[in-house]
Parts: sequence; structure tokens; C-alpha cells
Amino acid sequence: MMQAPRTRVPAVLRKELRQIRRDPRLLAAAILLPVFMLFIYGYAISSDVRDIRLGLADLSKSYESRRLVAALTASGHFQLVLSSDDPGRLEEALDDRTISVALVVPARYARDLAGRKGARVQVLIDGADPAVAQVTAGYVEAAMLSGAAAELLTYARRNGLVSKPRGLPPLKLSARMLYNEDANSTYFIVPGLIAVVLMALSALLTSGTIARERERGTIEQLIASPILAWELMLGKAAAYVLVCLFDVVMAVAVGTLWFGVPLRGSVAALASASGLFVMCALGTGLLISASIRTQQTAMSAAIMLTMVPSILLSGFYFPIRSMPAVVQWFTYLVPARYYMVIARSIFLKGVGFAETWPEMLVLAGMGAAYMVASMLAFRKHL
Amino acid sequence: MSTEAPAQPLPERDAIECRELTRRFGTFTAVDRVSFTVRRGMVFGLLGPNGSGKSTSIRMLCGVLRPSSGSALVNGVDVVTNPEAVRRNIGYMSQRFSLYEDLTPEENLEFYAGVYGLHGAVRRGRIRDVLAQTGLADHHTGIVGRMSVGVRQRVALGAALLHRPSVLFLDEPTSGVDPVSRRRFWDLIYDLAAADVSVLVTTHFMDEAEHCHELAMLRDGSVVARGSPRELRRALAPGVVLMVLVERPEPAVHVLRRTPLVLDVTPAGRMARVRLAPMEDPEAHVRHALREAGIAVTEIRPARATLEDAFVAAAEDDRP
Repeated sequence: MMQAPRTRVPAVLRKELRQIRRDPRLLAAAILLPVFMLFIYGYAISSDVRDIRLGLADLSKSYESRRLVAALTASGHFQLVLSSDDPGRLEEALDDRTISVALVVPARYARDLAGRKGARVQVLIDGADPAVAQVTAGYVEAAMLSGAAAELLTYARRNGLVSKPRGLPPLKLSARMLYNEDANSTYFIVPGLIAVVLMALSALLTSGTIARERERGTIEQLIASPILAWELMLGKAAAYVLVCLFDVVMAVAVGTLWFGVPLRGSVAALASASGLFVMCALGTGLLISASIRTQQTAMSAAIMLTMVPSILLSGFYFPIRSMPAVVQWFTYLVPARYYMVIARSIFLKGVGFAETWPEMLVLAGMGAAYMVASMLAFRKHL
Repeated sequence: MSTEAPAQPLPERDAIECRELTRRFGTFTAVDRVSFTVRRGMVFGLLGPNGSGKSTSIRMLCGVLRPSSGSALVNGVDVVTNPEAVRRNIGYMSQRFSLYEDLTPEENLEFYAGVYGLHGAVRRGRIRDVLAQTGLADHHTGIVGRMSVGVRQRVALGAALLHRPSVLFLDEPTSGVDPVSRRRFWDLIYDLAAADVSVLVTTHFMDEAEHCHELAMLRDGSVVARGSPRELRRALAPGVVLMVLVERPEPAVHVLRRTPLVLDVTPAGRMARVRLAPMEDPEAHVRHALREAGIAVTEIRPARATLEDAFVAAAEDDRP
């Protein structure tokens, strides 16, 4: 009687799972590392700037100058920590970092505002951290603009350009942030972070798996057996897929429950994309594993080759559009680039398969390519 | 039956035929034009000290290492061009333990049963058989890493036997094993040979080599002698061996080493082991030499030439 050909994949899968279960270091890495990384990066990487320490030298001491300062502090981003009549004192405070923004309102501010030349104020920002400086400058500008708009309205009323009861239709620029209403950078960072963590972890876990067989000498028995390279690689990948999918669940749980990122889209689509992405990461790890002889070198290579591109070239934090063209081409080779788009869309835009299938297709292709490459890279002799 | 595929070897072919098998590592030649044939059902021994090329030879025959030149057929199948077909019908036990130390013996056997395509009831049956055959029935719990060398070696042998291979390669299977386990191991090897399994075993124990039907002596990567243990002893260590019991063995050894027609003298406790060229009355020859030197002889009795003698002789002949 004919029987369907049976592969050796289940035997490898079972053996790998048993070994994983008995390896306390690997288990610890698989369970603790993703949570640990999510917490560290989740708190460390945030582009929101709160409670910017503001120093003020109000030389004008006028109704108008007080209104300007009120507009600034009302935004909630600034905290007035130092008031002085001496602008030099503010510079000192900037130097010793007691304040990071100094606002100098000149004595003629109220007068100039009433006149036709326009009033000027001086804003000094600590540029030591360019990212914070940029955001701060944005906040100051926004606060000043709204202050200026208020001044304009007052000016118009005072000069009878608008009649008081009806008033000018209040001019209000209202930029509505779609999908991330609070402009909360955590919402943006965490789904991307899940991608980085998954990539690094999956590659790290699998990168040493063939080197370990070589170092322990167990490869010799495998080579002398009729097992085929693809059976060995697929069996190992299958075992680690289970581990990594557990990590996906954990990462998503931390993201939604702890960091409060809303998961608005299709959970099924997120699960599928995660599975495909994990295949890419495992394929990369196995390819490294088959090509590099020692566990230690393999693990270093895995970190370098997955973590760095996943952070720098995936659009995780640095927008791909602002990269040089050559670097932009490289980003197409980084699986995290595609998963990042999918994860953010599903989390924040609430989409599903219909909107993310092109990226999923790319991930599937890359995953298959990496798996095949790892099978070809495995040489069945010492 | 399709799950097992025991792939009957062609009965007319020898189990192993290697011709001019050579392996170089850079400029170093580990195995130099080694040729030998192992007939079906034979226990064939590769005898030689460490570094003589035994393991390298066996690895090439199992398809673990690729030969630099030469050819090897296992069950009539070419190792270089068709290694997978060879691997299906051989069992291999490497010198270094190469199963998983973090698994139990049974889990290791289960894995390799899967690798050799055994499933379901057949798999369970074979594992039970092998555990019984290797005397592991009581040892199958706990991970292998915590077990003695002797037990590990039996697990390794068990894994190599699961698929009932027609050719078995054992690379120093008894190194580090206690004498009782060694004896049991060899009993098992004989049982297998009786069941028509051909066995290629490497060893550096001379007494173990005596158990083999045929031997090839390796030195510095080359075969220096070939034949049955008996043939080797006869051909390489002719003459007679005497055990000489004296009061003070040290001066006796000294004297005998300078005596004509004495080939080799080794001190052995209060005795001297003397190998002499063939002659009429060797005992008288020895007595005479010692009496001349004023050494009293307590007893002289004939002994048998050993493979060690043969090996020493072969090594000396081989020396340029």
C-alpha cells in the first residue's frame, strides 16, 4: 500500500521543543527579553516633550507681555521656573541647564505692538539635544502664533474693525490628527518597537542553533544520518515559530495593556503579518546559523544584521523619505520596514487584510527566500 | 512495510570497499591511499594509535568528511556521488558522543527513529528492542548528560542500531568504558556480526583488536599491515616469545637487549618478556646469555606473540 511520504520535520520539531524547554537561558531570553526591551525602549524613545523649563525676563511688564507669557504656559508644555529682570541671568541658567528655554520680552514690547513696526521678543533654546530643541521651537512658535492671533483680534476690535457683539468669526486653525488624536508618540513608537524586538529576538534565538550542534559535536551524527538540509531547517524553524508567536502575543499585550496603544484593526491580519514577519526573522537567523561556525559569532552577527537595520532603516524612528536615495533602496531589503507599516496601520488606523496585503506579500516572499537560502547554506559535511 | 525500507544490500557486494582513500587537511595528509575490503558479516578492525587516521577514514566512509581522492563503496554504493543512499543503510557511532546530552536516552532514540523514518508501532517496537539489546531498559529516565560514559556509549550504539543497518561503523566505541561494559559491548558486536551485520570498528586497544575477524594496522595515515590477528602475529612477529622470571629483572633486561637474536625485550613486573628470532632452542639461548652475565634464572616459560608485538614489528619495518 502506498503511503504519503513522511518527512523528518516532526521529529526535528519535537526534539527542538524538548531542548528549548530544557534550556533555562534560552527560555529566559525568550520570555523576559521582549518585555524588557519593550519597557526600556518604550520609555526611552519618546518624542513628546513635556514640562519644558522656561526662564523669563519680562522687561516690558505690561498687560501685553503678561498675555504672551500666559499663552505660552497655558499650552501645558512649559513650566515657568525662573523669572528675572536680567537677561544675562537667563543665559547663565541655560548654561547650567536649570532652564532649557529663555524668553526675553523687551521693554518696548507693548509700545511696539501698538505701533506699526511689529514687536519682537527673543527666544533662546538649549540646542544640546537637537530633537528636544526642534520640538521646543515648534511649541514656542505655536504658542506665539496663537498669542499673535489673539493680539490681532484685540487690535481689530479696538480700532472698530469689528463690532463687539458679533465679533470677527473667531479664526481658529484646527489641525486634527487622524489615527493618533493626541499626537502621542508612544502610539507610534510601540507598534514599531514590537517589530524591532521580534526581529532581534527571533534572529538571536535561531542564530546559534546550527553552530550549537557543531560545537557540541551533535552535527556529526546528523550528517551521518539520512536527514535532509531542508527537513532540519524547517523543523528548527517550526519550533522557534511557536516560541516567537508567544513573544508576539506578549509584545502586543504589553503594548496595549501597559502602554495603552489602541489595537483598532483586524487581530487576524496582525497575527498573519506577525507570522510572516517572524518567518523572515527566523530565516535570517537560520541563514546566519548555517553560515557561521561558532555560537558567539553567530549571535553577534544576528544582532548586528537584524537590530541595526530594523531600527535605522525601517522607518521606526527615522523617516525613510528623508534618507539619501541609496539608503532608501536598502530599506526595501529590511523586512521590518514592511511589518512596521502593517503593524502601525492595524493598530492605529484600524485596517485589516484589504489594506495591508501588498506588504504581507512582500514579507511572505522574503521569508521564503531567507528559509530557502538557509537550507542551501547548510553544508552536510564537517 | 514502506515506512522502514531496510534496503537489502546486494548480497554479492562486499560491505565496504575502499581504494586509495586519501584525505588531506592543508598540507597534512591524515589518510594516505588507504585500501581495504570488509566482507559481509565481518568484524573488521582499524588498529592504530591516536592520530593514525582511523577516525578520518571512518568519517569518509560515513559521508561525514569528503575524501580528497580515492573511492569508497559501502554496500556497493559510492560514498562520494551518492552519500544519502549510503547513509540510509549504515549505523555510525562517532568517537565523541554525538547525541543530545539534554535529552533522555529514550528521547534521543525517538528522534533518530524519526530521522530514519520509523513511525508508530514499528518505532515503539524498535526503541523497546534497542533498549533491551543495549541493556538500557533501566536507564532510560534522566538526561544523558548526567549518565556515565558507559551508558552514553550504549545509547549511542542503540541509536546507530535503530534502523537495523547492514553496515555498522564504530569509532573507538569502548574508550573510557569500564572492562565489564567493554566485554558486554563486544558480545553485542559479535551478536550483530552473527546476524550478518558488517562491522567496522576502530580501536587502539590491542586486546580488542584480537576480537576482530580482520584487521588493518594504520600508522601515520597509511595501512602498514592487513590480515587476521593470527596472520598478523605470524607474519609480523615471527619467532618465539618467552617470559623469563629472574631475581632482579633490571640487569636481566639490560643484558638481554644486547644479546644476539633477541628482537625485543619488555620488562613485565618481576619478569622480562623476550621476543627472539626463530631458532632451535630459544630457552637455552636465553639461559646461556643470563648465566654468562651471572644472573640467576628462576623460571622460563613460553608465551604467545601478541598483536602488540606485531604492531611494534610493523612499525619498525615501516621506519625508513
